[in-house]
Amino acid sequence: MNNHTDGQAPLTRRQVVAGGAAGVAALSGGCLGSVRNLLGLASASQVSLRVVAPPVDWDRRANEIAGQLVNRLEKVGVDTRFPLLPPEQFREQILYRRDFDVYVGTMPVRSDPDFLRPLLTSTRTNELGWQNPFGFTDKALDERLDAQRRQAGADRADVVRDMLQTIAGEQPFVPIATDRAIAAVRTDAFAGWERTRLRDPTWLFEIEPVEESVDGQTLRVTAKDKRITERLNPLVPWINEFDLVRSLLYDPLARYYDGAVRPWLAREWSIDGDELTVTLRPGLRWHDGEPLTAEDVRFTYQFVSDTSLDSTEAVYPAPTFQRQASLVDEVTVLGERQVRMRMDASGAVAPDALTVALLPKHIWESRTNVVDAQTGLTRAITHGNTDAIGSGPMALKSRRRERSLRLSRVGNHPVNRDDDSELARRFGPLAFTELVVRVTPSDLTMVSFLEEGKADVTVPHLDNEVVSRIVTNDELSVATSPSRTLYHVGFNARRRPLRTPGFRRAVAHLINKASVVDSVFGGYADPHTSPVLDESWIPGNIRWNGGDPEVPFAGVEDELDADRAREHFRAAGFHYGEDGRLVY
Amino acid sequence: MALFDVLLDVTTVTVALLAVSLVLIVGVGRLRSIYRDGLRKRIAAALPYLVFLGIVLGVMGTFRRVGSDLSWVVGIEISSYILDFEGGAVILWLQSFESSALTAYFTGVYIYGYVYLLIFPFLAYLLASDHQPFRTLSLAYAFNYVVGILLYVTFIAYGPRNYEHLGVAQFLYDTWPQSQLLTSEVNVNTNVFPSLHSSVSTTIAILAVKTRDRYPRWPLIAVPLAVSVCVSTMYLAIHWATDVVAGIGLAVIAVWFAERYYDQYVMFIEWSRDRALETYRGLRQ
Repeated sequence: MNNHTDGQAPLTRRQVVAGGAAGVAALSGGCLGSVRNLLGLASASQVSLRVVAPPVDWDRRANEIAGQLVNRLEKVGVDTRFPLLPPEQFREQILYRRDFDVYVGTMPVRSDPDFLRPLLTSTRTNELGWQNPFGFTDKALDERLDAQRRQAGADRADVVRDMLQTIAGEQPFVPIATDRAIAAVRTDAFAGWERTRLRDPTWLFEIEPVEESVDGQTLRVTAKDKRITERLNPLVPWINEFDLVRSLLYDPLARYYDGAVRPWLAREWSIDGDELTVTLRPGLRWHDGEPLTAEDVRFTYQFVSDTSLDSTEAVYPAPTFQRQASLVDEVTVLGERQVRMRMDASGAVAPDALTVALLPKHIWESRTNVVDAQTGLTRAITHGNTDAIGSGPMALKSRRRERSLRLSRVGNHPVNRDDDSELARRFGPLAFTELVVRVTPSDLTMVSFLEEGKADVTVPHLDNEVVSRIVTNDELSVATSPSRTLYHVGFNARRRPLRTPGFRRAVAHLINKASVVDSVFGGYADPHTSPVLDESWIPGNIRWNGGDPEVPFAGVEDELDADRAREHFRAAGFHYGEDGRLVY
Repeated sequence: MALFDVLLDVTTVTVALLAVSLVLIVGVGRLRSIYRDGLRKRIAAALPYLVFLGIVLGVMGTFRRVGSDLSWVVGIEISSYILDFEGGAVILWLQSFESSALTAYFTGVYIYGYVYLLIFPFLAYLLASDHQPFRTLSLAYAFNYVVGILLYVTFIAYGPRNYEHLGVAQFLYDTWPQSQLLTSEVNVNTNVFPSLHSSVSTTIAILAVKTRDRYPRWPLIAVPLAVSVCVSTMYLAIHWATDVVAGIGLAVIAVWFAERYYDQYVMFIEWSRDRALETYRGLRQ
């Protein structure tokens, strides 16, 4: 749809070319407004958008935010469609094929701002997952995103502040709020549910049996995501933070806990200039009994960077972990249990490179076929990996399609060993010898499983609306914590009119974040103005001040002031027809 | 209460309703005379039609399971168009009459009433004086199911309850969450166009009126119950009015189809039965 790139062109010229433009637009597909135009049902081409969100069954909150936005877009004269997408299709259409205008959804954000690098670097727009799904391009931002990883201390903080300022100005996506992780728990079997953030990978490592003497208990979890039994692939991009696959089945060299990246499967590491030497713990094994060696570590970093393993001209990076892998230039095997990594990152960022889930070479090296060259999908990503072989503290025992999943504790895993290592002392052994996940259709049925004593805990993704039901039951209680799951509105800047920053800002002005936190989340959320959650990185002038100072809500209380909102669209170079439609 | 308990619950209620209806609608006199004549011949005559129906349900059920994934590849998303077309108007209007009695009534109708409405005519027509109603019903029912599933795969449609901003209430799953254990076993939330609840109920109601000479009391139950089922799907925000209208349309076509092709259908089933018996005898020799 490139034939008039000039957003400020006068209406008369636009009307002259409207016929031709509509034809091209209709051919390129997707825009109903253009089709209408082609049929001669509208005089000028009205701005039309498809806003997608999950159904209520999956995520009521994102759905409600989207519904509000759709109503307000209609009020300011945008022709809007509102189809629904379940998580699997969200991944497919948005994170893989980039086929969307606007979506409302969630993404996991990291504590270190380096996660913004893949998210917004312009050269990543043709990749998969959370590598710039927005198609956002800004040369100056690219340079800063690249620079900050090699910096530390005050220099890095300055650059990050500049970045966040640019991002707030450009609004490639609108951060709204992080929800509070909520789980219902039974109080009779396990305790310690709130010792760490509920969606952190170490959450279940912290719990303990209520009765000291009891060992060999089963932890029974309920979930409503049917795919939990069908997708055990750690390379599939996350939509939600909490993931049993990456928390219990697969292990990294290091994990983030107690405020820093700390040794996990690595016993220790040392940094010398740009070289990081990592030593593995002794006696590590994959769940199929094969030894886990330095060669598996080298393989993992190579594979994540290119899942086709150099078998083709093109490079097919995995949608997850490629940011971490990109901090590493080269991995050299020094011995059975030792590797040396040549880093392309400062000491402040480098340890984050060790948080990649390790993959067994003998299983993944055959999954290199390119499935879809255009989107960049390889077998490594499309594979369900339903017979997962990892190295984590729990191993897959059995599963029933779309019904249940059973994991059992791995005795010789470093966490479960009785060897007085720092890791075992901190976490081990796991408080349960078996973990069963049972799939049920809804948040309410998850809770009723607990009420009937058929489960101990729900996944930490409960809707805040069921909280009142949990607290009225004596045997249940609510575990809650802040999260790093960011509800946001994503724009596809590859498409008109979303490539215009002023248009994206005008849309952002339609959202009342404070009211969303109150009414949609019932207070179980924290509003955000910036994708980096830790305030110390954020410049003072764009911090939350009861509202978003950069893109304040165009209205009073929860009532949209349509005139004021329309002004924002006019200021962005758009026009209103006599019938109140927003036109190009 | 897990799935099994919900099933047990529904079965108990349905069996009780069926028993009462047999006495009330088929009548004690007729039941006695059937008892004297024996049921064997009747069942033997109906069996090929039940087998046919079983095959259709089995094949389409499998297709439906595969179809929900296929739908996302080849299907057409229409919920956003239905949303534009009718919005929350009809559902909100119905829900404005909300009361706990009404909610209990429509919940009961949606689950128990529907199952009862579905099964009873098969039983009643099996005991009727002639075969025609039973055969027509089996064909109309198969037609509903086949066309319904094909439409499910062709169209991706979420019901109004999956659009939170409409402000519609989810009475069924909020008051009786466990019922979703059952409904999620037999349906997928993207399959709301058309409403099969409405089409099957309407089919049965139309046939009830047409066969009123056999069972004069049956339309008095079937028609109001079918109307209630149609309304309940909207009151419970499971279906759009559009789905219900499409369901009723499908029912009208299904009845027309079953009557239009009745003779061919009977010939086909009888022929299949004879061939099957021949093959069976051939195998035994």
